[in-house]
Amino acid sequence: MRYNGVFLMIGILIIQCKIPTYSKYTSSINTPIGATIENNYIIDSIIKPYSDTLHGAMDQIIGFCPMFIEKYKPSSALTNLMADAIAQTAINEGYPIDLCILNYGGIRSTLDSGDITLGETFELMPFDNQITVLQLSAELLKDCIELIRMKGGEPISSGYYKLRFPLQKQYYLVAVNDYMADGGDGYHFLSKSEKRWDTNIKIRDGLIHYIKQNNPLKLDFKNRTL
Amino acid sequence: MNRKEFIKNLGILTAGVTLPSIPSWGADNERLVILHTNDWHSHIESFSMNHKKYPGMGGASKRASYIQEIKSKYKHVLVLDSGDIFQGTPYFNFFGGELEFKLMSAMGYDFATLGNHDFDLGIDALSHQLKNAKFKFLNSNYNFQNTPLKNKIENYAIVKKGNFKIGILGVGIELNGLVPKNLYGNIKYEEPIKKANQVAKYLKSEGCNLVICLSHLGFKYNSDKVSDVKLAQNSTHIDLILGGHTHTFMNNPREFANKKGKNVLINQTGWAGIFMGRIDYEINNSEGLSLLNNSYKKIS
Repeated sequence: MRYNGVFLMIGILIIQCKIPTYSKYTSSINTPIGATIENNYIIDSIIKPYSDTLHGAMDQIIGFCPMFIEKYKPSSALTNLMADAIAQTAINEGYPIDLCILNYGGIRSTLDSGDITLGETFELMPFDNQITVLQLSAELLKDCIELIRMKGGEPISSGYYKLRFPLQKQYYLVAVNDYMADGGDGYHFLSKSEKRWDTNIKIRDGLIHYIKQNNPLKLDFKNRTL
Repeated sequence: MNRKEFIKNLGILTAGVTLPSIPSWGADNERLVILHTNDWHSHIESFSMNHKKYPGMGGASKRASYIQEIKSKYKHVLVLDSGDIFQGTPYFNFFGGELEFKLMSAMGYDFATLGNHDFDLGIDALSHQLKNAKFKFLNSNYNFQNTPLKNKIENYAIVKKGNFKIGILGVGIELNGLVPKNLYGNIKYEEPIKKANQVAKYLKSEGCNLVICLSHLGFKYNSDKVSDVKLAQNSTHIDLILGGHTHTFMNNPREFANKKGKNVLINQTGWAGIFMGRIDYEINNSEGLSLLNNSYKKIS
């Protein structure tokens, strides 16, 4: 009895001194932040002045998309649309380009069916990157094609349908974004291009103009696999 | 009072005095709930109700309600983010990240790490914007010497929650080739696995019983590129990696054996704040004596 008491005390002291040296993983759940969860009024009140400023401009309808489109590789209606919009913008600016290549990662959202708002173009293309035109030797274009194949696809404009292999010309005019022209996303070799024109036209502005000019949008679902 | 009674009374007295200092002893296990996001990319508002994939989902306001609900149920809660807070909606284009940081502060975030897109307005703008963040940024593998972020980003943090002593560190992706040089400035990228292991080892030596790595490396790649899976497999002291960058939607965390054969958990919750990750840990103080070598036990 007497010893039991002592042992109990020692036991208590040991437990007291011993902070467990491990934590035990018990469970996990990745919880959807679903439509049924109620809003938090404090958060709403922080957002309101910002959203009031934004929505007047961003809810403006600029065009129409006949169906929901999203990006996937090697090509999709959305990747085709983005590249065609930028190709058309470059051509309108006086650059007789052969092709537009964009980076797949640069397309950041989907396009819903129905009216297209200005805000949606910011979600699709949030970056302020500009359209850059490069004069590429056939060799450099081959490097691009090799990289694109390795990546499993990139947005490519309808100039794709006119490309002949093996490449026939010595030089090609190619529209890209300045991020790629600066060597981003694997395009480090583009720094070797012989001529470069930075248009100072944002990719997003080119897209907005194209959506306005092509209302409703005509979508191209054909595969553009290099 | 005879000797027997004295000892008995002493025992009661000891128990009476010491029990409050270990509140969970003899009661239920002590629980830590970790809530986390990654790549929420300025998605301040919920997706519209007619969005084809995520109707009405996400949004800072609903996320705040969920965090609040968990905080009202559990005493020990940590709210963490693995980077790419910025860029994705006009809120960022027009207000430069100010609202994102204000909202995360109001939601009760504790720590975050930096993603590549958090540099999209440049290192000066990010540094300036930090004044709106009440939570702390952690990173162990970017050298911020000669940058405006020097002394503004911590290498690691140690947090005590009851008997939990939690060490948290952060690792970021190689910025060269991903972010224009003029935006990330003089940040020097250092090999993340080596750095994370050094810091994690230190955190364990400081008595942390849980080491969490916030990572913006990406879950895994079909190349040699460093990833969360590689980090897990080449680590010894990290228990949990909360990832980002690859926008990977995971139903459950994945387990990978580390260098010593112990399991490391990796979790990631897609993007845009559509999901919030939740991982629970518990400490059982009485079992703590007998199960020292049995670090993980998945119950559910």
